[in-house]
Amino acid sequence: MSEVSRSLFLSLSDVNYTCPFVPAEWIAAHGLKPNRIRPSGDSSDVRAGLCPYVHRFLQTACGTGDACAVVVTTVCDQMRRGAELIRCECDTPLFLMNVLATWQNANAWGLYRSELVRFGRFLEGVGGVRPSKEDLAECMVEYEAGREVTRAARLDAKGVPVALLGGPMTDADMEVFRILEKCGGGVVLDGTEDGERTLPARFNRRGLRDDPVQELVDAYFGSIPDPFRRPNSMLYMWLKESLARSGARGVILLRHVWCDNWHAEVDRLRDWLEIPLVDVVLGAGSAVQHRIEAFVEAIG
Amino acid sequence: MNQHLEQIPFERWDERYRTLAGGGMVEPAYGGPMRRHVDNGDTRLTSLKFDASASSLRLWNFLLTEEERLRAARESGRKIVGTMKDLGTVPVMAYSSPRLTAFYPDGAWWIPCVMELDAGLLEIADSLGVDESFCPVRAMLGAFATEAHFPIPDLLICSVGAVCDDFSAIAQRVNGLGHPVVWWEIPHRRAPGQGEEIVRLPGGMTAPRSQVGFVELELQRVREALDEVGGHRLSDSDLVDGIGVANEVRKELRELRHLTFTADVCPLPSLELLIAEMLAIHFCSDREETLAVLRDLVEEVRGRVESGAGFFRADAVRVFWVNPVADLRVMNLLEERGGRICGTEYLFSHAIDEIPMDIPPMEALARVALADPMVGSIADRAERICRDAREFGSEAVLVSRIPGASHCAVEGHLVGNTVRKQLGIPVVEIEVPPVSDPMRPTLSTRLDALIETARATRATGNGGD
Repeated sequence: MSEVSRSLFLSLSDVNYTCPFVPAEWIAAHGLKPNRIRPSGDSSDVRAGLCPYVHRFLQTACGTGDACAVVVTTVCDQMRRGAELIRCECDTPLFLMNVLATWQNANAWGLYRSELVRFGRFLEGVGGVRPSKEDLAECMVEYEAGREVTRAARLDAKGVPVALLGGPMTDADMEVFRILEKCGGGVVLDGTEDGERTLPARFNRRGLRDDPVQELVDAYFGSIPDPFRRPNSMLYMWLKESLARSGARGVILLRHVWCDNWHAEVDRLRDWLEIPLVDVVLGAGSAVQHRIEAFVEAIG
Repeated sequence: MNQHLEQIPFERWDERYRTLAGGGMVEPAYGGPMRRHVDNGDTRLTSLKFDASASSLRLWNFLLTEEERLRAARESGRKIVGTMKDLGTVPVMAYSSPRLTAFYPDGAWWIPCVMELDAGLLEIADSLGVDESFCPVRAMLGAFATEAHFPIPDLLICSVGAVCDDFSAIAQRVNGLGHPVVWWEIPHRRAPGQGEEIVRLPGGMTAPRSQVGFVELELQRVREALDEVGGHRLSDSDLVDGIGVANEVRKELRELRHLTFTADVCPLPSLELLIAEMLAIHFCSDREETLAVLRDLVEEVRGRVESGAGFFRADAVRVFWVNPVADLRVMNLLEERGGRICGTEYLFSHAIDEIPMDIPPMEALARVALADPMVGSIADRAERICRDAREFGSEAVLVSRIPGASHCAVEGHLVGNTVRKQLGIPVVEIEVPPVSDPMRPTLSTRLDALIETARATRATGNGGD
């Protein structure tokens, strides 16, 4: 985040969110601070039947004192319903954004755009200011520059080349990277929710000038591959291209126990991939370490 | 004096069938003794207790012969449409076409119960990586893999978006097995914002006009797919006629529910009422016969109410049941423990509400789809439950959690809180697997606790709002 964008913020109030389909630059362009949360908390802290990630997100998002808003999307059913817990248990204003599963017709793209506009009105309601077309475009260019740094940083991994795939991760789940480093694995592709899979497409310069909101729609809704999408073929197309480029010898799929969309794809991915895949349930104690270590050893 | 009716166990059905047949009972083509269903593998029936009337026999026979009806429809040249998840909207469209028969492959979720796991569908789902952390609807994946429980549809349509992740993920796997799916989006129903036009939906909820318009366009894509597979262009007039018949079905069902829930003594056991309610979602593959079955049942129940005939103790606790139960046996169990059903919300209340007839048909259907209790907030759903529970005089609410379902963890908690706050009546959650026999002591204990608490509340007069 550059100083220029930071100076645009009207206040240091955070807008807490986690879903990659929420454009950070849309929040920033409204003069508020996008705060994409990686939830903290103890992995043993669970709520019966509730996805541990959702549980910790709710705790973290609502526990941040200076947040002016929490944004949740419909990408995950548990998160959608978790929004109601926020309404009941937290005073921070909540925005629940409809992000559609379907994407192969104009109706869906149109709704994502209208949701962005509605989100913009919400941001104005919590202290933001509607940006001009030029300010929005400028903000988008800055954020894109930041993402280019992220993309480039992935290229110098050392060790047995592995690809990560899967959903969102908590602070505690980042232990996976330490385990990998210790056992000689190197991440050449990060397809988790915090990784390059969920980076929006690069903006079209002409689009930025003519209709930056549509450019956000195209870059986010039009390009982020995810297993919740119907059909989810975009995920497989992305994987095919990214894995070939990465040189990964194996895929480590990281998911939380109630994440149906990733879980249901494990078997299909195993059949489809030309390299081995290991399914790792995050928060499963020492099993996480043992599975990863054994996998790296096996493909090494 | 009230006439006390007794349910019969399965082993008494043969004798009962002979009595009914000897008494001049006229049966439809799918009629016959109950035993043949058990002989065909539906062994759970031997653990159930039944309403022994001819109307009930007809209802059960109608339900349990659906597969034959689907195969006959295909042989007669009709195209089979598998509609998934929306529970009540797309079948109204499909049956508006003279060439289509629609059913819900989702219904396979009861196969593990009805066949007491002998069909092996859950094991097949396991082998495909869809294990018990998913809801029992994973049996549908097994049914598609075996192709043994229903004819593979000529067209598959599935609503996605604001639906359970379990279902959406499993439907994607069905697609991956080589069964193409037409996906249509049902967005999360949100409250209208400031300045937005408000549309009232069936069931009393509201949505912004823009969402109704969006769903209408989605259903238009469904309509085009139906046109194509049926080789018949569905006109607005076809749809209006189709909505008219669907409304007749819904009207009979509402009457059946009202009679059953408000009678002094219970005129229809919960199991038969559950099955009757299920007919509304896709007409059990024969729309006209559904209407006839329901009318027969309504007539039977009305007669019982007028004569004061009924089941169970007169002081049975009036329980509102939330969510369908994976093991039908548990419906009987509630009644054995001293309850009776007075109010239900089996995830498809929008399939029972009247479809508006004074607006264009596609908009009417869009409003129905958006009225689905599962696509909106839990708060909306809880409000509806409270309203209905109040209307039917429910004394307790039972939330039946579906194992592995993505919505249940939060839902039961919030529904319970709302009910306690608004109605002051006891709420208990249970979780029921497809065959619950090993859990019966635990379930009985929880049901006893609910019934006893409701009785205590009744005695002290502390319940109610």
